[in-house]
Amino acid sequence: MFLTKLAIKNLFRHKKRTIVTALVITLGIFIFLVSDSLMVGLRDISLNNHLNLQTSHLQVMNTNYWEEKDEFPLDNLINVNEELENNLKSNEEILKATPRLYFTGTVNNGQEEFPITAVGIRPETDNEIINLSDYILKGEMPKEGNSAILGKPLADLMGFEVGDYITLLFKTKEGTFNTIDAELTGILDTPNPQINEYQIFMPLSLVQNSLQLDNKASKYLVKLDNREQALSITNNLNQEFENHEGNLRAYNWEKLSQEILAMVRQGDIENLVMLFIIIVLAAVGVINTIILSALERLEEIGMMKALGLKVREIIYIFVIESACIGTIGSFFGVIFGGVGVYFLYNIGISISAMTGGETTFGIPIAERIYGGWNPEAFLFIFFFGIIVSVLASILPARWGAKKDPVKAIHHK
Amino acid sequence: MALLKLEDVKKVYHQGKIDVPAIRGITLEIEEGEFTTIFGPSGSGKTTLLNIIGCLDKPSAGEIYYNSSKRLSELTKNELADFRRYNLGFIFQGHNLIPVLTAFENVEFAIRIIDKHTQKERKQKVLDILESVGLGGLEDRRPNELSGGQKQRVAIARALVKNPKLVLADEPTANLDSETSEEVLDIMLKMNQKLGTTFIFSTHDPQVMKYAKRLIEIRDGQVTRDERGEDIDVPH
Repeated sequence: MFLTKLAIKNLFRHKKRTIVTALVITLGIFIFLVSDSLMVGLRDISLNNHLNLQTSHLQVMNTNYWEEKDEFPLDNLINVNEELENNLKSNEEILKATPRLYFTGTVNNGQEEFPITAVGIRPETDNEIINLSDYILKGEMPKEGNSAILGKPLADLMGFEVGDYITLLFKTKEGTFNTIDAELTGILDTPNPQINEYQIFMPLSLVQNSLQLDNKASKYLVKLDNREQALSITNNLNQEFENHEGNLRAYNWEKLSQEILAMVRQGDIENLVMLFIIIVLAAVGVINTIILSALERLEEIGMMKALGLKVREIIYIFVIESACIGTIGSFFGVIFGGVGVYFLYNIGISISAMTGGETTFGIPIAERIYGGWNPEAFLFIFFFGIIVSVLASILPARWGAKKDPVKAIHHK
Repeated sequence: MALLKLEDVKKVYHQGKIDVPAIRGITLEIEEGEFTTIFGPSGSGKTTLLNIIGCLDKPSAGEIYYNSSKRLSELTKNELADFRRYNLGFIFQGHNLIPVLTAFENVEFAIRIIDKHTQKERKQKVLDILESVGLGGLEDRRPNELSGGQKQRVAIARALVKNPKLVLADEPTANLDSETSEEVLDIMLKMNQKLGTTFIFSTHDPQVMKYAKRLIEIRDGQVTRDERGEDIDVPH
């Protein structure tokens, strides 16, 4: 207890040094917590946007289509039929299912053209899953017939207004060029920039007729009660599909969100990098402080050894000092980190302010990134800061404590 | 009975490829309760001898017996630390007080690490010893609030508070003026007489030697004079 008290009193010998070392740890922890919050927020918003606006909880498609799905081929499509829909809906956990037909082409305003992905949707069922109508900025959802909606950035780029006619140029399955002229009935503004900038939605029947793909769809989007059920239902559906010896397969949102999940893993790596930076910052600060302290106190160390203190007891004094510095630094790091995360959580960061509105880096988030709360990270980093401080102090403390007492006493 | 017995103790320092002998074979006995001064010119080996007696340094050859039986060369580093902790007191030339502790705490340090006193006993012992060295009422002062003489008294109190058998003092008055030196030596002598503590201190100050009841002269690492008595002829 006396040695602990001495260690605590030693913190006040060089207050500025103690404060600076603690501040270094505070800074490291602050950076980690803010970074972690951004990663959590980015992951949650990205996944939610991706799930709610693009993939839904699971999709059913032909296995061969799955292989080439990113190129939106017109081969290996599935039949839109009541039997499949009824089969899907017979599953209690499946709330809704809707077909979609994807193809690529260019949109033309009479002067210039821009590459897009067009999506044929059945508005009445699609809206129950993706809810595009919630994001209509102007106008309304496409009706049966030659109608379409697209995102605001694309509309601005091409100079389209609601009521204008847009022309889509594309190749049919047979390789012949065809066009669709459709009235723009609405302009979208979703939180997903990929939809806003590159996708045009039209009635499924219009797309099927124009592509000469009667009753065909690229896939079925399926909505469940919650995303946690996706894996088990996917497995059940696949079992059924295999029993029917067809090429249909179900793919859950995790399979469909590989890019987002890769981004999450990237975030985990970034957190590890942050942890490494904190280790280096804290260790350098603490090692520096302990070496300086030991050098300044050589005579005292010699005196303590003369009084009969053992090496481990002298190390203990220095380690407790470091633990206190680590605790102070970690405490304020967590406090400031908490303030930072509070602002990120409630106010967020404008992506356009960060990027100048030029790019979204492929992240399916528009406008603002909000931080996420991760209480485990706070708890972890608090103790991590202390542990790193303690570990970093052991070697320099040992170096000081093992000094020859005669040389230590007479070192001047 | 001899408290301490040195048998042909030698100490050689190695400076690169050169061997520098500091102690060249010293044999002597220190009786319990003696007030001994080791004197000699600078570099004669006084401090080295004190360090070896205090188990801070190991002899290159020879043997040291404590209480006639304990062979100090057989002790491990931890055992030596324990030996110092329970049996020895040190007074250094530069008092070596801990600046963040008060006079009371600096003295208390020496018995806190022994763990054989209750808090109440400890407090009383510290206050008594501070009173004995003339620092009553100054126990809450930190070293930077004390004069040089007062700091050295705190160091004496720290050395004596655990009632060690042997106190080693390396030029304890070197940084003090003559008046303060005499005060400090008076205290040490008083403690020697009151508690029966054995004192060995090194000096080259004739004024200090006057206090000695035994005078050992060292030159070139060898004992050249060893006298006991009240009226020893002190060199000038």
